[in-house]
Parts: sequence; C-alpha cells; structure tokens
Amino acid sequence: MFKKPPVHSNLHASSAKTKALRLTNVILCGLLVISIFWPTRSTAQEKKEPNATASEPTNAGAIDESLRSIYPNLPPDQDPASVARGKDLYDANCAFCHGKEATGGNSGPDLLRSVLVNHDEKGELIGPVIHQGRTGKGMPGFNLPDNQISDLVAFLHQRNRDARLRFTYKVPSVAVGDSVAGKAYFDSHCAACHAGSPALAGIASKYQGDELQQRWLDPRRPADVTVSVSLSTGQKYSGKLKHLDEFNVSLYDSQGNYRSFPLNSETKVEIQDPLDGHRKLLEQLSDKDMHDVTTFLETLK
Amino acid sequence: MKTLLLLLLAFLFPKSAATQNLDPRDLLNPLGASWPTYNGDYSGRRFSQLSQITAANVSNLALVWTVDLGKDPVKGTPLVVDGVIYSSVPDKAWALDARTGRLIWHWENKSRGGTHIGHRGIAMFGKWLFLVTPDNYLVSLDAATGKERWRTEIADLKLDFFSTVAPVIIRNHVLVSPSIESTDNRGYLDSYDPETGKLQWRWYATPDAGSRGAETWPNDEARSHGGGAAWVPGTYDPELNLYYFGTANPQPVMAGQGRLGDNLWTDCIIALNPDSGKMAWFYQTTPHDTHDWDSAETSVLFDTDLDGRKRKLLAQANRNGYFFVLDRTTGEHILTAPFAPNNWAKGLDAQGRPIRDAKKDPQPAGALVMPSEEGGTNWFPPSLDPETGYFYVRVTRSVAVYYLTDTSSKPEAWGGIDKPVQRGPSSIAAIDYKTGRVVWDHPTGAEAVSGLLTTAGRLVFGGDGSGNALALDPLTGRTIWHVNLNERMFNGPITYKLDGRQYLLLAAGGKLYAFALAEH
Repeated sequence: MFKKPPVHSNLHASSAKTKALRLTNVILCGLLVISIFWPTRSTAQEKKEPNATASEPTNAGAIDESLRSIYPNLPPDQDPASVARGKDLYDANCAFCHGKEATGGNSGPDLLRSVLVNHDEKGELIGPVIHQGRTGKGMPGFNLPDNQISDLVAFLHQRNRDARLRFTYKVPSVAVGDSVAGKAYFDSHCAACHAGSPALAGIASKYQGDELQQRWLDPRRPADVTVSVSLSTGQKYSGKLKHLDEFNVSLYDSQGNYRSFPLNSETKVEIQDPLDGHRKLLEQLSDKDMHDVTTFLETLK
Repeated sequence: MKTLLLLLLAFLFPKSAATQNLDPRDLLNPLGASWPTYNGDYSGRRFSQLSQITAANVSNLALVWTVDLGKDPVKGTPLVVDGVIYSSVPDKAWALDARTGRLIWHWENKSRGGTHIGHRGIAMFGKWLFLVTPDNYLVSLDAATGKERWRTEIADLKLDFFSTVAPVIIRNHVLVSPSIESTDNRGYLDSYDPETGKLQWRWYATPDAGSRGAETWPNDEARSHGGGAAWVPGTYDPELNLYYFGTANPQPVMAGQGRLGDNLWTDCIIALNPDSGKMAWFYQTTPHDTHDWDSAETSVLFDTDLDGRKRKLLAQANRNGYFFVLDRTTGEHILTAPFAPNNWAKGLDAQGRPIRDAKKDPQPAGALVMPSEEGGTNWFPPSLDPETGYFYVRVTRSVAVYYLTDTSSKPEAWGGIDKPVQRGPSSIAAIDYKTGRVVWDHPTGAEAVSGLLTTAGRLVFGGDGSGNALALDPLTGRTIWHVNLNERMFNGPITYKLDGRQYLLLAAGGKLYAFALAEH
C-alpha cells in the first residue's frame, strides 16, 4: 500500500496506483463542480463569450469590456438618431435593389459583405458611390445632401456591426411550448426539490425569455456544494467545497476554517451538489420538454 | 522515392553547420532531439523517440528553468532547433536559450487589430522564421536576430479575417490560412515563397462556379462567401507528396437556410498537392454544419497493418464528437466512432459520415445540443503512439442551447447563437485506432485545454483543468507523475534533447517550464 504523502506537496512524484480508479466516479461527479469555481471560457475556434453572469446587454452597443482585449477593433457604435434617419432613407432609396436588410435584393449586391462598405470609415468611400452610382452595373446616382449621406453611412455601419457581433443577437420568443404539459413535466421531474419552493415564485418576473430558459437548465449560481472527506485515520471533515482535483480537496468547515487534504487511495470524498438534478436532466431532456417547461415557468410571474 | 527526395533536397539545400539554421531535410526525420515544426514532425503524431525520461524515472523530474513571457497564455507549440527555443503569442515572438530560458531576442508586431484569441506557433526554413499576426500579415524573421526580412498581407483585416495558424513548410512552400471571424468570406489556403514572400498559389475552400462540388451550394452568392478557413496546421506525407489539413465551418455559421446543401468543402479533411495547390481528395465530416464545428483538427498520419495489408492511414478526432480513420492515399473511409457525448446525429451514412438530425439545427426557441460549439475536442494537439496503437485526444464535454436568431431567407454572419448550459467534465482519452473504441478516459476537471505528447519512454504528457501537468501510463491512463503549475497548460507540451539531457517543455499561462531528470 502507499504511504500517505506529505500534506504540502512539492515537485516530487505522486503515486496513484489505485487512487485514480477509486476516485474516478467521485471525481467525475465532483469535477463538474469545478465549473462553478473557475472562470468559464469558450474555446470554439476559439471564441470568447461575455462573462456568464453578466446580464444581457440592454442596447446593441454594450459589449463586455473583457472582449475588447480579444477583439480590439470592434466597429464603433453609430449615433442612434442618425441610424434611424438613415434607415428611413435606406428604405426609400436603396432597399428595392439592395434588399430590406442590406443583404442583397433584386439587382443590388449584399452591402454587408461588400469590400468597399467594410473599408469605408466615415462615408469617404460610400458617399461617392451613392452620388455617382455604378452606371455599368445599373445603379443610378442619388443627389442626396451630405447630412443624408452621413445618415445612410451610419445605418450601413450599424447594420454591419449588428450582424457581426453575435453577442448582441436577440433571441426571439422561447415560450413556444405547452404550459400544461410543462407543468406536468415539472411536477414529475422537478417537484421533488422544488415543490412549494418559494424561490421559484415570481421567477418569470426576475428572468425573461431565453435567459429564463438558460437559468433553469443551468442555474449557474454559486451553489452550496458540500463535501465530506474521510481520512484513513478515521477523521471526517465536511463543509463547503472550495476545490477538488485529482490530487487535493479543500473546503471551508462550519466554523469558516479553510482545510485542505491530499487525496490518496484511502481518502474518501463525497460530494453533495444541489444542482446534480439539473445536470442529470440535460442528459435526457427533449427539446419539446424544454420548451414546455420554459413556457410553464414563464407563467410564474 | 524517399531516397530520391532526400538526394534532391541535398542538392537543392546543402547542409550548413551554422546555428539557428534548420535544414528542411530534418523535417523528414521522425521526432527526436529537436522540435523543428508545429507537430514536431510532418506526421502529426507528436510521438518523440526520446526515451531518457521513462515511467520508472519520471518522478525524478526536476525543474531546470522557468521564464515568464507575460500575461498572454502561450497556446502555440514552441520550436526547438540548435539549442534555441522559438515561442510566440499574438503579435510577439521570442528566441530563448533552451538550456536556461534566457532571452536571446524579442520581436513584436505593431497591430492594426484583428482577433487576438491565440497563436499556434512559428515555422522555420534555413535561417528564417515565419509566423502570422492577428492583423493578417505573414512575417519572415531572421532566426539569429529576430529582425524582419519581409511581411506580406494574407487577408483583408476589414473583412474580419484574422490569423493565428502556425505555418507548415514543405520544401519551398510556406503554407498558411487566415481565420474567419464573422463576415461571410470564402476561406482559402495559401502557399508563399520563403525567400520573397510572393504568393505561389491559393486553394479556395469552396468550389469555383460551375465546377464539381458547386452543386452543394444553392447559388453563387452563398458559395462565394461560404467559409471553410484552414486554421490549424496540417500534416504531410513526403512519399505521397500530399498535405493533409481540415477546413472550418461554413458561413453563415448557425443559420443554414440560405445555404441548403452539403456545403463542400467546409468541414472537410483535404488531401492536397503542395506544389500545385490542387486537391487530390476530400472527406466531409459534418455536411451542412450549423453548430460552428469544423474539420480543422489535426489529421494524424500513421501506417499499420489492416486485413493483412500495409496501409497508409489518417485519423482525426473531430470537433463534432466523432473519430474518423481514412486511407490517406485515396481518402477511402475506414471507420467512424463517437468519442464524446453527442446528440445531433441519427447514425452514419454509407460513407461513414454522421447523418445530421435537422431538428437539432439551431431553432428560434432553442435546441439542446451536445457538444456545444466547443466541440468534443478542438485545436488542442492530439498524439498517437505507434507502440500502443492508441490515439490520444483532449476530450471536452459540453451542452448548449442553439438559438436561430436570423430566420430570414438570407441570414448573415452568425445568424444564431449558442448558449452553453454545461461545460465539462474534460478528459484525456485513448482511442484504439483499429476499432475506434475508447480504451481509457482519464478525467481532468471542468475545462482542461492542453494538447498531448507521447514518448518512447512510455509516457503521455498533458494537463488538467486545475493547473496540474500530468504524466500518464499510455496503456492504462494511470497518473505516474504530476506537478501543480497553478495555471492551465494551454498548449501542446514538447520534448527535446540537449547536452545529452532530455527536456520536457510545458507552457502554463504565459510561463514556460523546462523539466529534466535531476543532475545533482
């Protein structure tokens, strides 16, 4: 068997002949917990997401500042009044050829993918094209005053920005399910923990739309995950889990003392995570059930 | 054939005794004392012949030196050639003494912008280095001094391209591809002349109008803005003279209604002749992808006996959660097997491609999909040990709700968004490449992001999500050694030999750590 390693590990080896096997199940459950304590990052292609606990931007321009280090040249927000005027001008003069959304229409190309539009900064490139047209390609010139050109340019740049910044995309209504079926699902799958729970009353006044849906699928709050550690000496410690990995576990006991233990083949670790039920649900939840439950929860105002 | 090639190279490129010099012929050798290219050698196996560090003595590893390169995590794989380490992060490169970690020179790009998400590394040819910048320059540096020789623009920054890839050099071809952020662009792979920086050829990731494969797009507008960047370095077979790489997802990313069809050649493994830039074959791993996955992960090359015949094969653990094995001569499909939880496919078709369940495409009210855009794995370098016959991969598990936010007939850019509802647990898994079966799966916490390394010393090296660097038994996955660096290993660990001593080089955060067996 293995000698108990020193409490404070250094750069020496850590033998773990049976430890990994015995703790595998515990760690599999327990390491899900780590996501609570570690900043989450998206690594797709990779893409960084706004801080998961930040509230939804209330206007299209609000971007989490942490994104700026990764996307240093986000296109700037345009003046909303100018954009609104520009939209009216666009609808009247341009939409017929270039499409209502500036993504191409009857005879005009997609302006959001246009090299010229993307190179334009303040209308120095777009302005002349509006004035002179492109006679070879069937675009007439438009004799618009400079301030209207400015508004059109603002509209195009804002439209481009809004199309590119997926973190600002608005999710349409998610309450497309059957609230009666949703309540039945809730009663059979969730009521064991949540029946009569005061925490869910008025939940739909607190969260709406896709944010409500996200939050019941992944409650995300720093849940009180508790842990019990049994040492080979027979001593037991329990409390609020701080960190668990393959080699160490740490917790705050009921007095608020920080305690840390090395893991070996004789240490037993048990995790109690109140969010376990939510995680298990994700393995079996159908999209229909998801929509039904969200629709039901939206009635709890 | 290989001898002819070596003779030709010897004639074209006489070996020099100078330092800071990489003879391109060295790239043909199996991975040994140096680490001269992104994957160590052209095969992508990241299996080192070095065996001084073994399972029996790895617990005697000591820290030889460490250096702090700054706040940007090192995600790229450093090079080690002639006792010099070349490391990089977006906009910055360093040459360090491989014995001490001390700085030799530092280079920095004055950036015009571009997404600064990561930098995969540097390439070397003779006395020159090559790297890309986030603002889409391919830059060549003098390896001895870090001074710029030339720079050339490889993509339009204003069209939202950005560049992170480590170039791969095959003879006199410097191969690079820019990445696509949001704007709907046509992806491509370029070949540049190492001496002058001149473009030699460009391969587009979507077919030309009217040519074979164009019918997988509904119209020219969709096809000519269809995405497919090749943003992870590829691998190369010198006997077949084929370069193997993967293409990224189609554009618009999550809204597929304006691009109905399989969308070739996005989400494909491509075999291409590096002299002509002509494609030899392709295999699509996710037809009509709407989840921001890709096929860009490393295509690892290995030879093995299959049904009594010697076969040249290729394996890829794909973003979509499936493991693929192909014949790399012809592209013939050998096997497909899942290695990460997924719920988006209804089975495999006759060519071994997962059959997409359209109900799991992004939906206006959300579709619950696993994996999320993070994928079952991502760019993290895998490793293949020819002695165990296992393909080692960084597995990430995730669940997300995919929302379709643009329901118009012609969406733009992303057209949707995925919101994760579960991240983790991650693991290091060993896949038997003969059967696709996951033989062992070693949990590593919520979000481990390291690449992997295997060695003839019978070790697998990688990191977990808590900042531990691990050495595992390649047959069982049992942990044999670890050290806590308190920051996640975000790159592929490497190994090199200097002064008769084998070094293990890891990056955690912005710091490099070099370990070797204790001398004193």
